[in-house]
Amino acid sequence: MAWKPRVIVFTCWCSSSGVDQAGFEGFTYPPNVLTVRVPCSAVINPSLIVKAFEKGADAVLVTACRPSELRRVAPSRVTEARVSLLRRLLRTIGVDEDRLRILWISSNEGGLFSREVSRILEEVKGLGPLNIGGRMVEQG
Amino acid sequence: MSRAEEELRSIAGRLLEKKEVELVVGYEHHGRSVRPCFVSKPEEANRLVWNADCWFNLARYLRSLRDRRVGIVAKGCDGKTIVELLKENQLDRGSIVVIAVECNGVFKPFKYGLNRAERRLADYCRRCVTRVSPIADYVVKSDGQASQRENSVADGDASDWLSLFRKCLKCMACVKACPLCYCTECSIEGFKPDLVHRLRVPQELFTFHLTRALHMAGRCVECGACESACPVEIPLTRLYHELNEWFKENYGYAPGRSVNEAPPPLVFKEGWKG
Repeated sequence: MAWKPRVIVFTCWCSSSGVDQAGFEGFTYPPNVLTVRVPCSAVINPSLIVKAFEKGADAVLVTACRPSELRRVAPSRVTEARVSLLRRLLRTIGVDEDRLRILWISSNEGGLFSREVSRILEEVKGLGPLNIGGRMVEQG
Repeated sequence: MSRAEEELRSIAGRLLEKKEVELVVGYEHHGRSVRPCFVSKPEEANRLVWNADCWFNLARYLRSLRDRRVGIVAKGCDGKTIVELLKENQLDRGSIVVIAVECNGVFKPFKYGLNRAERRLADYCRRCVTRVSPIADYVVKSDGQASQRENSVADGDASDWLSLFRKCLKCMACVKACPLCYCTECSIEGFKPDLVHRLRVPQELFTFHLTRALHMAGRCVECGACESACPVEIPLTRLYHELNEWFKENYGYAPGRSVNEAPPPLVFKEGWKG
């Protein structure tokens, strides 16, 4: 059974409709990408991202509204700072920091989402399984 | 007895005599090492000592003594802890008297079976540049002993953090020892299985340590209390030091410098590089 990376995507309310838009417009993205919808990207507890890694995710993406398109700019900037801090932490403990990324997706950018996710999935395939929780996660 | 100790004792004795404080928290001799002590009578002020064995962070006690007037013997990291606790409204500045002692770095805690001659300066003291507490009512200068501090840190070995984390017993000693961990409901200590369950021992260690690191980011004063308390000797202070470096690079902020300096997450502004 070939190993396939498992990717968790935390999407904010707006970018989750961007993910829906990918379906409406006929774009596809790989089935081993699991999306979790949260009300706003700024409510994502960084501990949950860490827990996603431990429970078998090989990469985690956070999609958020573009700061330039928001009425209030702070939420996306908060997320950006948190992700940046978490990337530094991952690099310190010896996990490749490219396993955690932030993507700016608006609600009409289904094509962008499908393109970016497929590209990141290919890169994660190159990095190999993470296996931080101490057991292999097999999936077909 | 050194001159610094003499000065420390006279200050503590005076404070207790004038009833400016109800008790002084300091260090006293215990066996061949040093332990924390609480002095409440002026004639007992002679128990206080100050030397390179005093690694313990006395600011840990201040929150439990909040309703009393307390004097505290504070080295650099104790003072930084007091500043952080004041920023977080955990202490009342009016009810503490800080006797700052100049610190040239402390030795690693004296462990049973170790030869006394083999003691060496703790890693976090090599990294530290604070000699005197940033908050002080009285300052006791050191005797001018040669500083054993080298600013170049000798931790070139990139430690394998993942295998270090697997050694963890989840005994919560780091949480209990940390002077800045004071939440009554701890998110990594509970028995509610939402984030980390305390009894699932070989699992969730990664989440446990990274969550703790994230909660300490930009707050940790690098006093080494967690590291000294750890039974499996995980060098946690080094991990938290990395995160403080991130804050220094992005916001020019370091914890414990001044009470008036607000932490970046509280005063988040647009335009800051994140």
